Amino acid sequence: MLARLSRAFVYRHPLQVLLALVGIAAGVAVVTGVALLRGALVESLDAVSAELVGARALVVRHPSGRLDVDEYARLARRAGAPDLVPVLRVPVRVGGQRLELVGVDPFSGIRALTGTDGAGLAAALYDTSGDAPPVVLSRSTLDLLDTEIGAVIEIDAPDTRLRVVAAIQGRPGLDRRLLMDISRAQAMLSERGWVSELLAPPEAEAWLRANLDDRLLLTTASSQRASARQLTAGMRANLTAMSLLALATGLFVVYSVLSFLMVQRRRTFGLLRALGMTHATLARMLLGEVVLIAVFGALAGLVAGSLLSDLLLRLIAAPVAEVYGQLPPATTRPSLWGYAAIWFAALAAAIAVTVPVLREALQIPPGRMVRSFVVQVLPLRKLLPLAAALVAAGMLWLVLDARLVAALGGLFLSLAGIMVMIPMIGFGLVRALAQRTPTTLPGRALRLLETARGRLSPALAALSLALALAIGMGMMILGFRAAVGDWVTRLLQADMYVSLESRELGPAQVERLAALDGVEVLSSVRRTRLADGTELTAYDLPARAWAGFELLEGDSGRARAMFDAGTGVLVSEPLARRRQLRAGDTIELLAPDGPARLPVVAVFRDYSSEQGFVAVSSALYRRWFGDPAVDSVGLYLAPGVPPDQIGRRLDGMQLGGHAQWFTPGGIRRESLAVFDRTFRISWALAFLVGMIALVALTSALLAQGLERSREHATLRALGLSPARLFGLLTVQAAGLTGAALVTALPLAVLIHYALSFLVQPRAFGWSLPAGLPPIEPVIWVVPVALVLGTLTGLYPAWRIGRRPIIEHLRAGR
Amino acid sequence: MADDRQPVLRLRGVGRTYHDGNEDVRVLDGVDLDVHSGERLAITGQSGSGKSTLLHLAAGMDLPDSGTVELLGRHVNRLAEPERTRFRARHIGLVFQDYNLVESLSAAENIELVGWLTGTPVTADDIRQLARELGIADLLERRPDQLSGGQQQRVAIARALIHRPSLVLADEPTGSLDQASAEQVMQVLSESIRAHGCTLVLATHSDTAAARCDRRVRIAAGKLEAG
Repeated sequence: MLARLSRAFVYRHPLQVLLALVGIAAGVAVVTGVALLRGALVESLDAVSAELVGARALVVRHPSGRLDVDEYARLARRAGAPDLVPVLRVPVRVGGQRLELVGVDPFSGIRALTGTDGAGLAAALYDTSGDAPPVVLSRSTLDLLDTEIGAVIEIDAPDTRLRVVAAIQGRPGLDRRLLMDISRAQAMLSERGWVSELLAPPEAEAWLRANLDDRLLLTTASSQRASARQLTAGMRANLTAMSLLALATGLFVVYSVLSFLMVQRRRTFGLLRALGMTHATLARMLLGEVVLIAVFGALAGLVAGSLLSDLLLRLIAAPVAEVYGQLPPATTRPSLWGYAAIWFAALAAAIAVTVPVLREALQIPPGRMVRSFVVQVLPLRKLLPLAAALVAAGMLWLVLDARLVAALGGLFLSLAGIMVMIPMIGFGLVRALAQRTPTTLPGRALRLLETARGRLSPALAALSLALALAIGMGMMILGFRAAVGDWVTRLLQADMYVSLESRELGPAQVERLAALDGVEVLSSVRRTRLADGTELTAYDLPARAWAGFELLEGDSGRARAMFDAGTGVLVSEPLARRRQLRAGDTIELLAPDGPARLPVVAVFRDYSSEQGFVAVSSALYRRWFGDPAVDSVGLYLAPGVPPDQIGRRLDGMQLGGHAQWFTPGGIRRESLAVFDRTFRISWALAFLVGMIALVALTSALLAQGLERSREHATLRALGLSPARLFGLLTVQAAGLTGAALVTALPLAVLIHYALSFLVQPRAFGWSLPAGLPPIEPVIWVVPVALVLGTLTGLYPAWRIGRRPIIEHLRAGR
Repeated sequence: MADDRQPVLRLRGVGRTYHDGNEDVRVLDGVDLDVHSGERLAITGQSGSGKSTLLHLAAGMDLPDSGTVELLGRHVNRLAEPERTRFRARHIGLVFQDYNLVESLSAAENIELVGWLTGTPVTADDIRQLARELGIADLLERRPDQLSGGQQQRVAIARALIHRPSLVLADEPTGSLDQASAEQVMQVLSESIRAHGCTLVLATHSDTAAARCDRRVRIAAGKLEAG
């Protein structure tokens, strides 16, 4: 009988049930999408070595990323040498996608990889049936490139066409990779004489430690992957926070819709209770309905989330490659356990938000055929301590724990505390506004709206949170963008920068550049990685270039003197935060000749990497490594010499490789483009949260409209025209949105500052300069929210307006 | 003897059919009715006989399939919806069986609401004065859920009278009340109507309520017959 009662109701109100399903599905979809994306960023980054030889494989690399083939040959000829696998890895682009060309020797000690057609890798890579060199891709990469076996693809190097001869199933670590024979790859990409790394089995560790040159780095495939995972930790934490906010907003929808479904059956519940239905039976019936809706809603969410995850992966693939130098898999890979965990969590959350609705239902006295009653609002004396406790707990967590999780958790708790107060503040504003114009239609509409605050409070809180999040995050992103723009502008003091594509510049080439007519002075940069993974950048800086460093700690004059003399180092802010270094501390650097302890003379602002780096003078670097090469040089031109003129001359110079030159303006533009691509996913998630909040608003207005349909019919009977009723309901929707916006603005500023000064430093290691928040997000979001919020009121208004008055009057009987 | 005065409400040949599934139900069939100024008319009949339908048609909340509804000399069913709404607001007071007070507003606000809807200036003194007449002066700040059924119906009567309408339509105003409350409400309604010089059309199946009216008609099989 319970099932029949529920079924009859569902059949009569399909739209409302659909809305509930959408609410749950939307929240679960975002959580699932982000969870799968996180999985992709954890499981499959930098997994090429592991896929080729095994998770415990050893990896030998040169700090520069390029290892001389002669070095490999010398090692391989030594007595007892293990089976070493040379691998060439070169970033390429195919059809706008960032991929990596991986050259391997299929007859070396790599794991047996089999194509989907069952043929071995060696047979595929030595296929000579076509003109273009053969290449093997993973199945997902084939789908990503929308190509097929037998097709010819072009990479961005000149005259480089490759023929797809086979696809490998699974192996996500090989996604976005083009596998080809190493010798062909070296010839095709002018990399003869170079490999990127040597792979060896784990049992070769002792031999390698005894025989490796000091300049070579020995690591394992698993630690390589751990480093890659660490790289994206901040990004993953931020994504998780966003997805949880989306779920919270989705649960507001669930609450709104469930209370909407409740409202419609108050009389039935009163009747059933009068006829002898116990509290327990009524609770069972309602819980059964909630579980049923949640089960199907969550299932739909899992499906939608899986689709969403691939879209999100597409958004994030480019920034992960550009910012972290990592290639994520081509597609996310769902796990049954992951799905089950999200599904059960969604069920539990849906049941949890049902509790207040259930309590309301169970309070209906038997036989009392109430049509509606005013939902009680907790008084200030109860709300204030709750809000204060939540905010205090959040702040305490923030202060006592320096980890990122504390920043996010503390922010969540504080936001929850503020959210408790939002309805009271929002409806207080509505009341104040209504009192200013009590006899006008807007005044009446707002007065009636304010009296429904019990029902509408969750929707107001959800909308306010979503808007605050969108605006606050927008402020943080734009503030950060401006900071990055200023930082790049300040950093790039030279008139132009020159490097060779995939090559370093030797001393002779640097001298030729310095001798160019119109070039006054040069700066240079050389990057390397120490044995413990510390990034080291060596600078040769003329006086003008020093202005590019924004020192956060340390005395500029002293720092420069000690830096130039090689008796002190500079540390970028992210590294200083990670290692808790201050100016005046000492840092130990694993130089080739042994550990060197040097004072940190200054900490400088840097947004180029999350891991951070140590800056040393070129002289000190050369003393340590004996390496005279540089990665790029900055040219400081004589007054009046245009960079174009030097650029034209560079194009004609034979520097031993393709010379690339950039102006500071071009680098700034490209940096900001990378920045924009990095934050596209944040905008997308904020948009999704906003959309879910609008569903919450619609369902809340529908609930209110339905609850008051008889009231509206009475007003119509007493003389309110359909147009004025429409106006009344529209003003209410706009009023609710307006209240949400007004309460969202201070919250947005709070979120902006919390993200900028608490979350960002802990997630990425960098801070933002203090200043007023950008106003643009307010200008963008406020009109859009007002229009969309008002539009959400139109449907309930239309729904109420289209039914004849007498039907509404009868409906309540 | 025929009454030559212009009636407040005149129905001529009014018919109304409802569709119930595949079946057409003829609720009113060629109804003629005149209600004169100051008159108190009771319409009686069994449940479902068409009493409420007749009141809805008289108020312009529903339209007849045939015939005309004339209120204060104007054909209500020929007016466009907005005009009909304005006309109803200005000239008619409504009392419902279930009171239909706005739950979230106080008694005073419920009464004052009509002033806003009709554009009639309603002062706090007007409300207090009327509330005293109806015996609800001490209840004005209470919300409907804090009032008894009889008290709520008195508030509804005050709401119907506050803008001094020409015609009050009361649909089973005592239908949800116990006998004692019903008698009190009918007494209050009847006296107030007289005091304010209004005309009353009362739909009821209560003989006691009908007995307080000047005239009584009965609906049966969609037709009016003398009570």
